[in-house]
Amino acid sequence: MLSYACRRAAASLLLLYLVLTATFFLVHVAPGEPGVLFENPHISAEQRQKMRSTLGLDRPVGEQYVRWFGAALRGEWGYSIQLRRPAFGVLWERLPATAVLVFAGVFVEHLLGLTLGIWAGRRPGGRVDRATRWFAMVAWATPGFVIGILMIEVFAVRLGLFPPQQMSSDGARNLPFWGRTLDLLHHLALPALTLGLIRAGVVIRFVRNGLLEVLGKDFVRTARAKGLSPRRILWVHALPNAVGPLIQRLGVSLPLLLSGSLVLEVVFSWPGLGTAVFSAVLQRDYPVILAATAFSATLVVLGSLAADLAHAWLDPRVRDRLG
Amino acid sequence: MSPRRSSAPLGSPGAIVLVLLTILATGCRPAVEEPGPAPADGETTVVVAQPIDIQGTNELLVQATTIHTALHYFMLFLPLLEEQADYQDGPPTFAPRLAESYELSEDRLALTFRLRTDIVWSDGVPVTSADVRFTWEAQTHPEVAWPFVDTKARIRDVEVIDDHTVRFHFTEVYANQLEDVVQGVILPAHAWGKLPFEEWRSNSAWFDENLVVNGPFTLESHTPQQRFVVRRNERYFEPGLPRVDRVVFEIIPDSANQLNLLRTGKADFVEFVPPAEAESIEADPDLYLVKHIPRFFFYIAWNVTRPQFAEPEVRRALTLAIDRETIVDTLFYGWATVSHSPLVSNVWAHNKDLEPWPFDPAAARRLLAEAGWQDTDGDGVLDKDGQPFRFELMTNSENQLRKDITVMVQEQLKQVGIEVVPRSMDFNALLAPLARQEFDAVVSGLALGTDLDLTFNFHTRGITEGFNWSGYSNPEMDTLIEASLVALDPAEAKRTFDRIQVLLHEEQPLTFLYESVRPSGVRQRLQDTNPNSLSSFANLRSWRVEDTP
Amino acid sequence: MAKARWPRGMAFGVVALCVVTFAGAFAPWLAPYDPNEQVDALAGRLLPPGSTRYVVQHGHRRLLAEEVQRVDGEVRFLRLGEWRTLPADPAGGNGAEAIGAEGDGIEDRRVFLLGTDKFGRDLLSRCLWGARVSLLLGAASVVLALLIGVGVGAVAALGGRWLDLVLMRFVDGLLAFPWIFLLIALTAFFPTDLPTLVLLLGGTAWMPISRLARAEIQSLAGRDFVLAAHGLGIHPVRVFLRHVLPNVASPLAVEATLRVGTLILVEAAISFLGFGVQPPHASWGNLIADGREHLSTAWWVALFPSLLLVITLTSISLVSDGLRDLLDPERPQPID
Repeated sequence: MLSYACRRAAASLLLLYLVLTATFFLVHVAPGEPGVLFENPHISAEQRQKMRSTLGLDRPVGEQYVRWFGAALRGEWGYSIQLRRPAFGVLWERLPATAVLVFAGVFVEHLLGLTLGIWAGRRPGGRVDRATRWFAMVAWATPGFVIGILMIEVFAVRLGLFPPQQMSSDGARNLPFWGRTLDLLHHLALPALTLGLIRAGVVIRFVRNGLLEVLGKDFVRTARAKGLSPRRILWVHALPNAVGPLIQRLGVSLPLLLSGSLVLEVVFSWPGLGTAVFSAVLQRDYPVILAATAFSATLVVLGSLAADLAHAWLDPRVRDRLG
Repeated sequence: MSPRRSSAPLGSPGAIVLVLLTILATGCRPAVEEPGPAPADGETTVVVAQPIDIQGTNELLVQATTIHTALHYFMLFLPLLEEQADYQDGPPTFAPRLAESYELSEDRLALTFRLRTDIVWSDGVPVTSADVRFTWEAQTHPEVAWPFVDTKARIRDVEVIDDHTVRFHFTEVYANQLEDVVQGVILPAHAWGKLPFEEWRSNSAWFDENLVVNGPFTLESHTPQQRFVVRRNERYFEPGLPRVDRVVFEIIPDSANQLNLLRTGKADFVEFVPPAEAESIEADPDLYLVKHIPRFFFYIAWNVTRPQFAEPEVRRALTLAIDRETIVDTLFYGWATVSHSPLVSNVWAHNKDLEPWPFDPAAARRLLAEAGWQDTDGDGVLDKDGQPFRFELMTNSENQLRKDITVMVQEQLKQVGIEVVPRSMDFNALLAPLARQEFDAVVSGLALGTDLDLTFNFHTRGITEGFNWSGYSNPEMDTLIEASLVALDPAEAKRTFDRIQVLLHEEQPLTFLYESVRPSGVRQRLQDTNPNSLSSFANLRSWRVEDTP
Repeated sequence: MAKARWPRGMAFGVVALCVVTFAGAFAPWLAPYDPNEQVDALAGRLLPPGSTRYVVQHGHRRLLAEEVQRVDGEVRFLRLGEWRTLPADPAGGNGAEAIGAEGDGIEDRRVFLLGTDKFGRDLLSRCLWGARVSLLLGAASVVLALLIGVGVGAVAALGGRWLDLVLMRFVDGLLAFPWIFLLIALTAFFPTDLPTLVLLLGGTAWMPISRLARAEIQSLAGRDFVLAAHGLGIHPVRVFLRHVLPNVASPLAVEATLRVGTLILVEAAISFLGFGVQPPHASWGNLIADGREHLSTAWWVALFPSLLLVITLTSISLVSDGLRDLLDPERPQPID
């Protein structure tokens, strides 16, 4: 198991390197230059050239690459051209907002998904099952921004129940911890609900079908024959077997941290990572783009590693095979 | 976050959960935030919703965005003199701020300022000539690399005469000497002088931690990408000002969301209301609009180095064929008017005798036919020497209004047999083809400074180092622009500007589209906001909240 | 226990999908008006569904009139609350010569079934053309993704251990890209037309397909009938085409159907952010994005394209489900 993890880690590092290199060349070869070069109409051509050379942008791309790679190896990811702060610092600052949103969203997703999935799976073909299935499909079929806009229009503007945007109120800074948490939850409600809704469809169908499959298996039949109560069969025997792959899916959805919630961050003016990277891309803020790529690629690698290991840990057959 | 740590693999799902929990816990308390006093009861707080975050308190180190201008010039710091928005009848005047008076020497090579003696920094230290000299040193220091350093290029030295007298020495005499001197706010030498200039660029956060101000407000807190709050500076020198205790700037990138805040009573001021929404704001009994005319002009630039746009007659035909009135009425709901000049109508140098070209597709067709453009093959598109009249009309994709303009222009030019292909790219990608003149036409907009320097727009020099993307080059225009810059007598300058505008009107290197009136949305309880073209927050210190019954 | 089926759902999905595809395919003939035509942007914008207007040639402009009256030889029309008379007064207007005055008259009467957008363009026509663009984009991208994905998957599965390892790591690498940003970057940096968008969408969507194809092919490669074919000395390419490919077709078909849906959603999201399909061309994504501006005053601009999108994607989901049940009832459903 350990050697497996090592092999995976080595391959992952290589992967990380390739992804970063590809991104480096892509952003540097793409048309456009950092926005700061053009912020002021009175900058002379000469001065602009000087700014380029300060940023190292006047060198051939190959040389820039070698220089960047050397620095990255030493752990220096450079400064954001736009914000003049360490590139990782910019991301780190925005990470909590996105993390909170994504985890709340994933929570809603699984809460909804498990509840409805189990409900539907208990009586396949029944009325609940059919309604749930339609719900799952429509939820999958609706773009997140449409649901988000609807939520804002109904719950924030018309009913005034929730704030339409941002993640805290002005006064919240001075509240005690619980007050701040409540304030955060208040702001979180709409975006998290939206994120959970658009992703719940898949979980519902997954749990339902998983249940059906497990319920048809021999050990469940045996349990039933032994006269165990349906509730006990469901919770003790069927469900754990059905949700195993769900955990694996969770690991794979870690990269959602960076990209998955971008559109919702825009809709809800949520100060997260997605919008930070979005603006870095448009501003040609190369260090931030590269730092974000490194971050995202690491998440993907970690996520799939964690998913595999969790899977192995849960399923002895896989564990044995990995030796 | 250390980058090295980010690539270290985590061993088990348990570790990930732990990390997540930590993130969740810190998420409740944003990582970067300065502690500030709790808002006391009875304090007046005003909430502003606007799109851009601030990056720092040191003017020399951050991008020159509108919100930074507001923060540095109208909240935290004082300039020597403050440019006024009174350029309707003549060049703008300057009101005393830090300086109570100034005097130009006989030979016009030295400018002496007398500073007020009653102004102190927020830590109690008096503001003196040393601060003025320190500021100039910082502005011109190569490692600080201030983007506007060219405004100080012709200042030879800043001489401290005594604590409250300071003299600027120039290398030559020119029209905008005063403007150049007062560009930039005065920085605290005693506080910010502690950090060597060499370290400024890489350490911009240091200034926020060591903030000392002399303006009406000080920064109370900043939660990146969410809000920043300014609080009244108790040591501010003007008695009775500012009139509100706190101003909260909510950072809301999305315009629809800004209006949501305003409508639901959670914001008092929205800097820019989209024209389509203005009517509904006005209809709301709790809200009203205040307006000002920004010094922006919007245009289509024709690349005159392309054969189809080389002749002034063809460019005039294009202007005649574009129904600018309909564009303006449709997209701006009455909040813009068709224009004919880069000098907007409330600027003193605006040529009032000219009329915008009318919408006249028949005349346009005639002009095009005279220039040899005819539909010989009957495909509905004009052609000349076998080449169809078709071109790409570019704009930057972030700007919905401009994209809408390209869509309308395409339909209108189709009527006279010109095929337009709208293309949009993001702003930074667009700049490269524009600068290299690898484009056909572009919809864009520019702000003109109160110095009315048109060099960058229409002078031959502007082709390589400015915004003369059209590649327009006319010796007469070059001479006129140069004359406008050295004309010390406003009447003479006005005559030069009039002639420049006539020439632009005839030659149409650009089709001028419109100038707009900018509405801001305000809640009834907030009064005296008076936004102007310098900044929506130029009068923040006089903002007043009416007592609600 | 048998898996429950929902034949009714499948039928609905097939019918709805056929209708939408038909509408998209024949949009040029079905659309009542030119989707990009702005007759009179000012008087025609944001008209509610079911509005009717008369097109009137008046001087240089074509106008939309609410009402027209003929009173002894003279024609009057009502536009924006104001009655005007035809022919246009040569001295009137904006001082230009009224060259077109003799052409003045009432041209035609238009019915805007779904209302109009901010330029007075017919929303029904735009929705139909939008269906064409969105569906074409989704389908073409998936075809491209299938070609690349199955190709890479087959080479990985059959090309030996090292090739497999390298290719699959490569696929992992591509999956690791924050590709929504990649798409945004590419659509923002470069002017995008439809073929480029297909390339971009297809080029970023094939990775999961290649993984699926590889797994399927690998599991088949060990089966008796394939081994037997090899044993008979049949050329490997022929074995692949004749024996392997048909057997992996059904899971791929299920996957591909769903992918069409996801790619339509991706295009919608990119268009919502202001990139993607560029105006004046309509796609469901940019139609919805346009409608957002007018949510409080003109709900129909965002509603109709949203409905179309949701119905279509639900149908895709139904059809994909049905296909799975029909083709391979035993197979567990894929994770995502």
